[in-house]
Amino acid sequence: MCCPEETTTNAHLITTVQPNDRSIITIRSFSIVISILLACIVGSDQDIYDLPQRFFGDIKDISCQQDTSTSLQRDECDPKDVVLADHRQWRGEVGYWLGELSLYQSDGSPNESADWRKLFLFDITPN
Amino acid sequence: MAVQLEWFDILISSLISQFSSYHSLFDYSAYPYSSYKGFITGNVEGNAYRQRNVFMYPPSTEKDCRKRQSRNQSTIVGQGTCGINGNSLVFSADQNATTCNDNASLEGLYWGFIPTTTRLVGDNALLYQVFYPLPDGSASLIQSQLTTLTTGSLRTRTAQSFNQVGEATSASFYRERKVSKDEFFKELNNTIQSFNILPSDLCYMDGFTKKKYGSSTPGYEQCINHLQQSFEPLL
Repeated sequence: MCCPEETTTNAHLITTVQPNDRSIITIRSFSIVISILLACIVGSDQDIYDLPQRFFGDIKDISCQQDTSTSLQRDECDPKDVVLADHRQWRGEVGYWLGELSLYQSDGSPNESADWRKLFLFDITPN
Repeated sequence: MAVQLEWFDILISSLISQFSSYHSLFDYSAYPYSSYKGFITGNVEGNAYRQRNVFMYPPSTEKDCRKRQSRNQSTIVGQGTCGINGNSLVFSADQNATTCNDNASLEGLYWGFIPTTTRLVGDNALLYQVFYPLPDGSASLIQSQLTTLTTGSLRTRTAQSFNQVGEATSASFYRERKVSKDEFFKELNNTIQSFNILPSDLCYMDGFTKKKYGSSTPGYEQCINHLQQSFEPLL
């Protein structure tokens, strides 16, 4: 949902495409060359990098799935517009849940009497 | 987000308490954690998620009461008696999407300084992670929790907890099922009875701050009000 069409650049391609995806690099590089030529011929004032997205939208999607950490993508999205209910997991959270809960110690044994004071490195037991 | 904050809360709040006043610390290790019950409500509205929990702990065994007494450890919190009365804690979690990334993941600071992330995994799981901020600007993973929804009404949560050098310190295993509102509150009542929790200890304590929760009188009504907050419209 957060993969804006306008943010893909050459640098983005280099950082996001994995080594085993050389075919994608080749196709996308080719598409950019085509788009530059089209932009020159048509005289469009659009960002030349928009054009390959229009022609090769499916490739854009693949690239987007590979990189979810690039700030270039996030900048185009407004967090206020996120609708959590659009996603199955978030919808699943809605409602009333009963839980049977257990806690286990680091050796795997049930924690009969939890002593959280030992869970951190420093001892917080009072003197 | 299947925010399983309870155990993490206890850790962090214990640290905070250490630096403020130890005497404000309530020793919930007086209750068994091998098997206890959670009552959890959750809701999403726009980009916001809310979760309200009430956790109920059974009375300690007589053997454990004697053991703790012999070690000069506290045996009870509140008004009850060790070995006879259980107890409860309330927890709250509110998160908003603060960044716009791949697919409705949440990022934010818990308690103002503790980085947390919740990421969707595939189409049936969420990964919630909590980090401990380090002075050099990096962060150490202290909890990693996977929630898997296996059906529309069953989910399982397992959390791994770590110390600051990455050693595993504990693991939790929460088996949860979605029920109707009626069944939920019926089971809440049954648990209060079977754990013999006194009204004065019922939804009295905030699990994170370890201070009195809310301004109302503790008791069943306070539990209901707390749990229903998940469904109140956001302002």
